[in-house]
Amino acid sequence: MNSKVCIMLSDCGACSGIGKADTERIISMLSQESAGSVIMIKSLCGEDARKNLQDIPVGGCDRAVIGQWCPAERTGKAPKMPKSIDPALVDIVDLSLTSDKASKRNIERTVGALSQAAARLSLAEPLKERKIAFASKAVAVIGSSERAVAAARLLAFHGLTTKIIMPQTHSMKAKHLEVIDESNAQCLSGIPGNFKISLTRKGVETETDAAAVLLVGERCFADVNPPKDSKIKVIPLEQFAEHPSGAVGGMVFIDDLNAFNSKAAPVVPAWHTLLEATKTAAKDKLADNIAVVARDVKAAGLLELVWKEAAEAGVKFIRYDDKTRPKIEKGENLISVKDLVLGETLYLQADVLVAPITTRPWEPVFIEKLFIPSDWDFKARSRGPQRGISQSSCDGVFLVGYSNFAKLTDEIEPELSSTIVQIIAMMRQGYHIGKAAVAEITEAKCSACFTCVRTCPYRAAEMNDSWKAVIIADKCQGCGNCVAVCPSKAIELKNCTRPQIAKEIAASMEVVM
Amino acid sequence: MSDVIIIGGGPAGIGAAETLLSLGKTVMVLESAAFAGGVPLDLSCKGDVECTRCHVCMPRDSGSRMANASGLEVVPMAAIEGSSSKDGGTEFKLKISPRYVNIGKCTGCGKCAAACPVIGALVAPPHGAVPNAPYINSEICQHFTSKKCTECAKVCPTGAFDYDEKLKTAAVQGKAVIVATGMDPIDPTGVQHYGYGYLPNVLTSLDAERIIAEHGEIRRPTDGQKPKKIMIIQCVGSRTTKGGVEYCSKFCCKYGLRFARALVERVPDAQVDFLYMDLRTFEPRTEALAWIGDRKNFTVSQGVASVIQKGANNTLLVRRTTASDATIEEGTYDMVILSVGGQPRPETKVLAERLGLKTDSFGFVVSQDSWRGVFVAGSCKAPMDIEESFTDGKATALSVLSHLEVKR
Repeated sequence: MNSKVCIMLSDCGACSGIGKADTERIISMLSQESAGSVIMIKSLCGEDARKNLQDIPVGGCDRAVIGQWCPAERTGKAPKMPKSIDPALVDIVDLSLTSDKASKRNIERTVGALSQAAARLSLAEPLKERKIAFASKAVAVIGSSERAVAAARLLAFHGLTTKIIMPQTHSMKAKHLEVIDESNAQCLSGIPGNFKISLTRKGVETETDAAAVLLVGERCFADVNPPKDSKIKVIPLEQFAEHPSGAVGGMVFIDDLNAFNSKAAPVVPAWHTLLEATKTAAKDKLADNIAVVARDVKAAGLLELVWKEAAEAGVKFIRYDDKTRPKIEKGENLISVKDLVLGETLYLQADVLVAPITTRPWEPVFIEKLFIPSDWDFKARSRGPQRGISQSSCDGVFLVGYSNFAKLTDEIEPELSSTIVQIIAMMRQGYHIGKAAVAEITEAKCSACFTCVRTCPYRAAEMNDSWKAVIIADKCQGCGNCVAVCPSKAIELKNCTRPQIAKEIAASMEVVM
Repeated sequence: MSDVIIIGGGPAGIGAAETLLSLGKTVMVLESAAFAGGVPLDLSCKGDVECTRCHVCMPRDSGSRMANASGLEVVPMAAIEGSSSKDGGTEFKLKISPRYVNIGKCTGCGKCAAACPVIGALVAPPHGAVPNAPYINSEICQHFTSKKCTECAKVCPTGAFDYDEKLKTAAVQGKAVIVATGMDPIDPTGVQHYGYGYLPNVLTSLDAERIIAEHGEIRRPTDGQKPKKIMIIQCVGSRTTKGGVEYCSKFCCKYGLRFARALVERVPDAQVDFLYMDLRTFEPRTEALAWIGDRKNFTVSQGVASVIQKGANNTLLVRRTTASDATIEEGTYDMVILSVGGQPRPETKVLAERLGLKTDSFGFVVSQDSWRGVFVAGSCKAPMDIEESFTDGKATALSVLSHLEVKR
């Protein structure tokens, strides 16, 4: 469908450095090429100039390109267009980059940029972001820790219908809050704004719906397997924090139980807990018998002061290197470690070995269903500038706490609050914005090779019952990855067709030449 | 009366402002510098080849997203002269320094910056700065020093320049206040054995960033050549009782490693040695160090540099301990970059006293007054990196929301 495009260009030469005569030349050059009308308008700066655009005759055009000399971020609000033109079909072209000096070349570049935009627009379908209203009004919190409970309470406090899904029994009552206890979330499906969570509650499979899902990650105990033939008692760090007393002889805190096993990958210890524990232990006047063996003393920020307090009380901090890991001496309660600073091997009396707690990654299958981009090790990684804070690639799925990776305890509280405030803002908005450009599959061409299903970072591509790939438009973000990889060329981005791309490339080549 | 007044337009202030705007509140940001945006405006992206999650772009993008939002008012170059409780809110008396550019008229076209004959007299806004308009440094500008130069006003298409602008006073009121004044970098002049200040090739990380911003690459200040051997020393000014602060500044490890990596990528033939006390990055250890792999021109080692001396041909002689066998080693370097920590700003203490907030011995704000609607966000509470203070700003927005909406 080719439509008439009206090109508007301001004669305000103040920003462009192009004179009135040049502007008229540009317009005459454009009118030779373009099928629609070309209009000279007054400057776009200022509220009045924008309003005057409403009365300009557009000669039956139903879409428009506005060439703007000032940088785009300055003008802010879009100009008011004549009624015959849909605001979604107005393309504003920033010409500030094509107008450094008034020369012939620049005039050509300007004409090129404008005709390219007009060509693109004449092919385009109305680019409208779709508002998809939330089918559900509820927010689901998945997690069993104290933080998950606190998050659910806060969300309910701000008037949002909240559900908390947790494995253990909990007798909690609050307005707007529904407790789905003794249940395990199995799988998450659906589109943003209308998620379906299937869960097993007391052995019975049920389903619940939610517009937003908050996953609160937890820590779990490391696999504490004391080495064979040693009498060393191994205590998980978090249990030690609850019962600090009862230790007699030497006590060794280690940052990573895997340190004794040269093959295992290191885990990230809970330094906050570890340092508080050593500080507490040092108060029981056992400080001389306490040693902390670690790769690095990760007392970041003001934790440094806790570390200092423990060190001044007499707790020994010993650093080791990955190449010279500590060893448990056979038959004795001794741990040998090569101190990096002294350069000597030290033998530590260790009747009790306090081991760290590690983060528990989500089950791979669960992540698969959550459309969260994950690494090879299936730890969900979503914190990146592109994705925003603690958000998954799917609008409405939020990750907090240890879901992403290990962090200090005092970093989690702000993360949780910031996520809650984002959920509140999202729920008040009441709708999810579907992208204008979405991928579409021509079923006849699809060879069911699963390439798009594997590639889509948003898990929007699925295989239907008749073995043809389909793209769920509401999940699609229009990134174009599937278009690029499809071996049968069965996928196209709607609103951005192949002839259009070809024309755009041709136009840009012209400009470059 | 605005709903919320945010003091400080750094990452925390911008994070809070963006969140509150999305919740439909009116926000006023008071900023002491000419542009809101904070420290990230001075830093370069560390992901030349692939994203290293340095988060420099995070507050910048956020700033340019909300620059045109209705309900936002940014007051740059403002100093707080006094505060009082008024009508269930807080009133601030401000002194606003002259900018000599009308922000409403400026279109940000950048013609004036090209026309200005004195370097640094007309400062153009970096990407993501709010407001997107330049300002005139009246100490250097020839209009004020000698010649009555009006080059910038001549080229300005909208007539935005006003050389007669005077110091203004204003009173602003808000129902809630967020203190987000942030941190200052520590001046390593106090660490005398590193020779910062009199050895020109010893730079702080921020100096190096400035050179990169100016030339697009790292250069030696003495001869303008690309350095062949660079050492990055961590924990300068932090974790010390001599010429610095006792606590750990927390952001320098993450920053320093990423900066070193960016240097190696930008200057492939240079040798970069990275010297740290403890690596306090909380990404899994493998992630932070995996990139280094078996790269020969990038070493990461534990140890402390004891002294930096002048060598031949503008080189620097660094004596340091090596942790692996506890010996002392000497090396010659073309350039030494000191990764400096941060400390609370002295103004924060004055402001905290005015608002009735407590500060600790370092100057960090340790209390907030949610009853009167005075909240604290970002690195004026404790050392934080960019992403953390951005998150903390957003988190504070939740407390502010409760204060504004929930009846007591």
